[in-house]
Amino acid sequence: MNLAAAIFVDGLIDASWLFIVAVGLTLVFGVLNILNFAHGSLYAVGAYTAASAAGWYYGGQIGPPFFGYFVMLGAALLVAVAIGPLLERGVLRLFYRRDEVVLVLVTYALFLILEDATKLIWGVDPYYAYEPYGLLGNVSLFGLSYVGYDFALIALALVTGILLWLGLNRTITGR
Amino acid sequence: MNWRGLTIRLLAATAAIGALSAGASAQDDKVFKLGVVAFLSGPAAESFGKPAWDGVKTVVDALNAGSVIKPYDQVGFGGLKIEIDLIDEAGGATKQVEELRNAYERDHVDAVLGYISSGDCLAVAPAAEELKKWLVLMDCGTPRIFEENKFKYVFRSAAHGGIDNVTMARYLVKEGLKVTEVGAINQDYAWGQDSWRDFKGSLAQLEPDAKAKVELWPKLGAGQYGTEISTLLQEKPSLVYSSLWGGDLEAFVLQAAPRGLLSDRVVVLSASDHVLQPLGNRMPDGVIIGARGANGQFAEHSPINDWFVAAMAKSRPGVQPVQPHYRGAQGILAVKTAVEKAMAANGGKKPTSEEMAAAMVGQEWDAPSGHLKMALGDGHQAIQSNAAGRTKWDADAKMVKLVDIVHFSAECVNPPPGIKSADWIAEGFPGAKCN
Repeated sequence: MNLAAAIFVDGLIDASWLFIVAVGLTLVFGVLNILNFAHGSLYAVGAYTAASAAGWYYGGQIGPPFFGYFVMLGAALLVAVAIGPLLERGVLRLFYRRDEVVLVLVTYALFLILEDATKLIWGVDPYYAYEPYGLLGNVSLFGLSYVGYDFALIALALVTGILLWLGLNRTITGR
Repeated sequence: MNWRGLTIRLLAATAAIGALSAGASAQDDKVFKLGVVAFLSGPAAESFGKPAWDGVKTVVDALNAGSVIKPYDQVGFGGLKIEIDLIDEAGGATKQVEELRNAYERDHVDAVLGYISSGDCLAVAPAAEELKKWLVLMDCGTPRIFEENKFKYVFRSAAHGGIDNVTMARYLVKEGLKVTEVGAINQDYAWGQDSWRDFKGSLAQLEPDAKAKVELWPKLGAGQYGTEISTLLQEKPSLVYSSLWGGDLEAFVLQAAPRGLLSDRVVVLSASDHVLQPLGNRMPDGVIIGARGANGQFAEHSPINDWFVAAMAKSRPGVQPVQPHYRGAQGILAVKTAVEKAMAANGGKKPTSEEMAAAMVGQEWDAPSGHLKMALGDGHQAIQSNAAGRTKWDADAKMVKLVDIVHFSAECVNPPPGIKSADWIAEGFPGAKCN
C-alpha cells in the first residue's frame, strides 16, 4: 500500500513539472496552429536564465531567500517576453500563409539555432540552482521524506491549469 | 587548359611543401611533441577533462622552465622542450581513433598521453599498437586494457578502477561499519556495472552478512533522481552505494540530501572527490569518499607532492587539486622518466617509440600520489596505493575536509599479476598483502 502511494506521489510530482513545461506548447498549437519544435529550447533558455539569476541572487546574498523564487521567475519571464515576440514577428510571421509543415521546419531550424546559441552563451558546464529546492522544508508522507518544493510544484501546476482554462474560456480575448 | 603549366606549378608546390616539412624536422630534434587527449567539452569536461589538462599543463610549464624538483629537474624531457598538441576527447571512440592516427601520422607527435573514457581507451590502444607508436593511457578505469590484451607500445600510468571498490569494502571493515542491507544507484553503462559488480563482490568476501536489497540503474546523464531517491528511502538500506560521477553525482547529492537519504546511514561514493569543491557545504558530513589513489587530500606529504600542490596553487589559484589533476601530473612524470631513461641508453638522441616503450616496461617513479610501479600487464600497467575517508565541512576553511583517512598499500587493493580483477575478487583476494 505504501509502495503504491509512493509511486503515485512521485508520478504526480514528475507530471506536474512536465505539465508546466508542456502547457505552453499545447497553448501555442491550439491557438496558433503551430507545432513549435523550438519549445524545448525556449524551456532551456528559461532554465539557464533562472539558474544564472539564482546563482547571482543567492551567491551574492542579495536579499531574503524566499524572494529568490520571484527573482528566478522574473528573470525567466523577461527572457521569454524578449525572445517570444522576436521569434514570432521576426521569423514565424513570414510563413503564416504557407503549409503547416513549412512552419514545423521553420521551428525545427529555430530549435537548432537556439541550441547552439545556448551553448555559446552558457557554455557546456552544468549550472545548479539548488537553494530554492530546500527552502520550503520537508514533508513526511507514507513514511517517506519529500521536500515542500515538490508539493508546491503540484499546486503551481494545478493553478496554472485552472487559470489557463479560465483565461481561454471565460475571457473575451481567450474566446 | 594549359596542362604543362599546371603540372609545373603543382610540382613546384609539392617541392615547396616538401622542403618546408624537411626544414621542420631539423627543428624537431630540439622539441618533444606530445599529444595530450582529454575531454574539453561535454559532460566529463568540467569534472575530469579540464582538471586533467590543468594538472598536465602545470607540470609541463614547470618542466619547460626547469623549475621542477629533483629527480625531475632536467628541462623538458631530457633537455628537449615539450610542445603540447591538445586534442579534445569528445565525439566518441571512432572519432578518437581517427584523431590518434592524425596525431601520429599528420602532426608527427612523438608520443600521446591521455584518455579518460574507458571506451576510448579500449578503442585507441589497438590503433597505437598497429601504428607501432608509443601511447600512455592516463585516466581511464577499465581493467580490461591489459587483462584481455597484450601490448608492446601501450601503457597506463595510473592504477585501474578495480582498486576503487576493493578499497571501499576494506574501509568499511577497517572502520568497523557493520552493513546488512545495501541500496545501490549506478549509471547503466560499463563503468556503473563494473563498479557495482566489484563492490558487491568485495563486500561478499569481507562482510558476508551484507545483502543487496535494491539496485537502481538510471541512464548516464539522467540528472533527475526523484523516483530513485523515493525507492531508496522506502527500502531503508543501512548502506547506500553509488559510483555516480560528475554532474550526475552533484545532482543526486543535491536532490537526496534535503530528503534525508544521506543521513543516518552509511553512504559510499566510490569515485567522488571531484565533487567536493563544487558541492561545498551541500555535501553532507560522514559520506565515504574514494579518489582512486592517494590523490588530493589523501596524498601524503612528500617533496614532489608538496611541490605539486604549490605549483597548482600558483597556476590555478582557488582550485583544490583532486584525482584528475594528480593523474595528469603522474602521467607526465611517467613519460619524462621513460624518455630520459631511453635517452640515457641511446646516447642522448631523441628516442624512438621502440626505445621509449622498452624503457617504460616495469618502470618505477615518484609522483604526487606516491610511489608508482608498472607491476601488472607484463610491466605495462601501473599499480598504486589507495585511500578512503569521510567528509567533514570545515566552516573556517570553507571547504570539505576528509577525515578518518585510511591508506591501503598497492599490493592490498591491486590484484597480483596473472589474475583478472573480477576473478581475484571472486576468489577472496588471493595474494593480497594487507596490513
